[in-house]
Amino acid sequence: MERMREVELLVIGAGPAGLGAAIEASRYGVKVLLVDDKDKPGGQLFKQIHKFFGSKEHLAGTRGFDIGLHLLKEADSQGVEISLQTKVLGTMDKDVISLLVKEREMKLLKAKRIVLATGGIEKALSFPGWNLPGVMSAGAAQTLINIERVLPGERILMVGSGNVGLIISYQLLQAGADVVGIVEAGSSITGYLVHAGKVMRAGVPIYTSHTIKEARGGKSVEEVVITALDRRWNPIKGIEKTFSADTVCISVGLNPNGQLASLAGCEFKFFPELGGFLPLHDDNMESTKKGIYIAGDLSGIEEANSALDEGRLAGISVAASLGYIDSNRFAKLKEDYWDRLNKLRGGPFGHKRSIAKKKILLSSQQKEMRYQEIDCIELEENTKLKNYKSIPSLKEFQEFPGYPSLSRIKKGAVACIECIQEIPCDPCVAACPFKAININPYITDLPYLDENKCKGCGVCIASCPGQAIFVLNYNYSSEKAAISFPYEYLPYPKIGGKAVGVNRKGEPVAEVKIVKVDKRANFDKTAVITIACDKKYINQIRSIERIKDDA
Amino acid sequence: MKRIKEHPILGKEEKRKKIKIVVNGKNIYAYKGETIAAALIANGYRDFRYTHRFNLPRGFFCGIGQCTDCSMIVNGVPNIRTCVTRVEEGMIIETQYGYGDKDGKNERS
Ligand SMILES: Cc1cc2nc3c(=O)[nH]c(=O)nc-3n(C[C@H](O)[C@H](O)[C@H](O)COP(=O)(O)OP(=O)(O)OC[C@H]3O[C@@H](n4cnc5c(N)ncnc54)[C@H](O)[C@@H]3O)c2cc1C
Ligand code: SF4
Ligand code: SF4
Ligand code: FES
Repeated sequence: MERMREVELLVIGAGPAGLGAAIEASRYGVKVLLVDDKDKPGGQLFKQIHKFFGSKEHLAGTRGFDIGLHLLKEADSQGVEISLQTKVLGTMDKDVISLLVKEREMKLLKAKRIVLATGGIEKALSFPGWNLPGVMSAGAAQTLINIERVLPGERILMVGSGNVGLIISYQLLQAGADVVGIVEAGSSITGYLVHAGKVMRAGVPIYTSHTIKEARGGKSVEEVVITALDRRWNPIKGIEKTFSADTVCISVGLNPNGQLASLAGCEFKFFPELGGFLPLHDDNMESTKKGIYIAGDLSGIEEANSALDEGRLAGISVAASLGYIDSNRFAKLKEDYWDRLNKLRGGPFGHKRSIAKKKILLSSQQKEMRYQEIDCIELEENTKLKNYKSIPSLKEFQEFPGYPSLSRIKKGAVACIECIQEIPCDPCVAACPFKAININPYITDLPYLDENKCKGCGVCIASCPGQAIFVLNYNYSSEKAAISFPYEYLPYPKIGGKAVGVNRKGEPVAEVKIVKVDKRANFDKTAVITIACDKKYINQIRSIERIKDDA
Repeated sequence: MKRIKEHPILGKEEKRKKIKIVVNGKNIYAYKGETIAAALIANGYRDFRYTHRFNLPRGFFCGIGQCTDCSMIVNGVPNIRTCVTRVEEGMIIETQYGYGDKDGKNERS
């Protein structure tokens, strides 16, 4: 009989977490085999066509699929062996792993170390009609539009206002569909306000304290009914709306994909802030089973940047445990990754995740503790996340440090930054050639506009993944003001033509004239449109109605 | 439904080889490399199978090979998950009723 192949490190899952682990371990000399059951590597990344948040080290402002390409190159140059269409079925005994290749061939393998980076699984939602054709997970719709380039439908209802629901709604609009609404059972929008802002400017209503009651149709969805909810999430009788719709997308969160970890015997615990039951890990990302490491959405649903950094941390831990990195060097590298991870988890959005992560480390009962129980309690008391039911009023925006003063606006072209939640993001800072934007000291702090340094050049507009920066030019002409904003829909408006100027909620305000459509290459597909309108609309108009007809 | 010919971020549709597949006896065109589910949805098909007990329609749901709602009979073999199976020239695809295997025939309850 053929001798069973033995690898030093088997990484399961080729998303950002798995790629990060494989790249780092390889860098220090570990022989790595990276497997994924899909026929392409990248996990969730290749479906993500939007610009990502994060910092420079995370390639913030770069689109998800480009980050994916970048990681694949890095894996290639580090000599990582990748085996696709290879599903790991389980560990037969202590260290024999069974693989199913291309759905037919069974293979057995030994590995000295394993990194599990199996990602998350979308949650389902049950309601009358949930299994009619046309109801699908939001991730499935995203694969259809961004990978297969096929529209799942023309009139879509999105269930869930988290970042995934908001982003996929936006991408459905970009693909040419109509989104009839987004329903959210909670009393406020759960994703980032800047993502909500994009779809609202495009005229998509977000119904908070609402849920889907029913999807109706014969062979597939034809109509949907939504209902208002009271504070206990019970339907309020009589407050219902019926829409004609052919598709319902479900985006109500992800669960860590823990099958393999549980087969391997890792100890699990329930952390609702991180998506549910997940394997415990220590500060090396090692699970309770010695030699098995975890990273990414499996160790708590977060986002791609933290998945990547956790993966990289797992990779160096493996390298250190196999003697490829000496302990001093390892300690230093490890501190750096924890520093990065803690920064990503800063701010009110990351807060609960940050506490949960600390509890995970605590319950893994390490001798050397990274956190004390008391830290967690203190952190909990500091939580302060301002939630919004809808787009805030102008007055609220004006209270934030990114909004220029009235006197500055009257002086001529100036940036207007409508980014008012503490999210882990900062590409606007590096984009400004005049250093007029600051985010200090943490990446989750709010952007601050130094309005006297700002020249209104508009370079920052396309750099902002949240599409939250506008340029206001009050002195465009004696009667007209000009407003510049990001635009990522086809067809583009024509210079000299007319369009309908809309406010932050997508409501029509006035007819405007298109004066510039800037599609320069380094804006990376985000066009910057400038319109001219009456001066009195300078604080209102923030976009134009999408142009429906190609004519 | 329709194919996304032009896209503000992804650009123009890549030129791909057109191939013929047969869906419930009818010839339709698909693109080499796409999944059966994508080809069907692009051609307006949404009900892929009917359930065994209540004869209810099911279609594309999870898109990652986990829920089996998109199963169809492909080249005579039932229970093929069309969301993770790519089209091939001349493929014969049929709506699946029930388990699709009664006496080797596709039952219609
Ligand atoms: C719509 C959407 C938008 C997002 N937007 C952002 C964003 O703007 N910014 C951001 O930072 N993050 C974003 N994220 C989140 C980010 O994509 C995920 O957090 C990240 O991909 C998690 O990485 P991962 O490597 O843990 O898992 P994944 O990327 O899910 O990869 C896991 C891989 O493991 C494979 N696998 C699972 N089980 C097995 C097995 N048994 N055998 C072999 N292979 C297996 C899977 O097929 C998959 O390829 C978004 C996510 C979604 C869904
Ligand atoms: S408009 Fe120009 S000068 Fe002003 S903040 Fe933006 S990039 Fe800087
Ligand atoms: S304004 Fe700056 S911090 Fe806010 S979303 Fe845009 S780039 Fe990120
Ligand atoms: S759609 Fe779920 S298995 Fe194909």
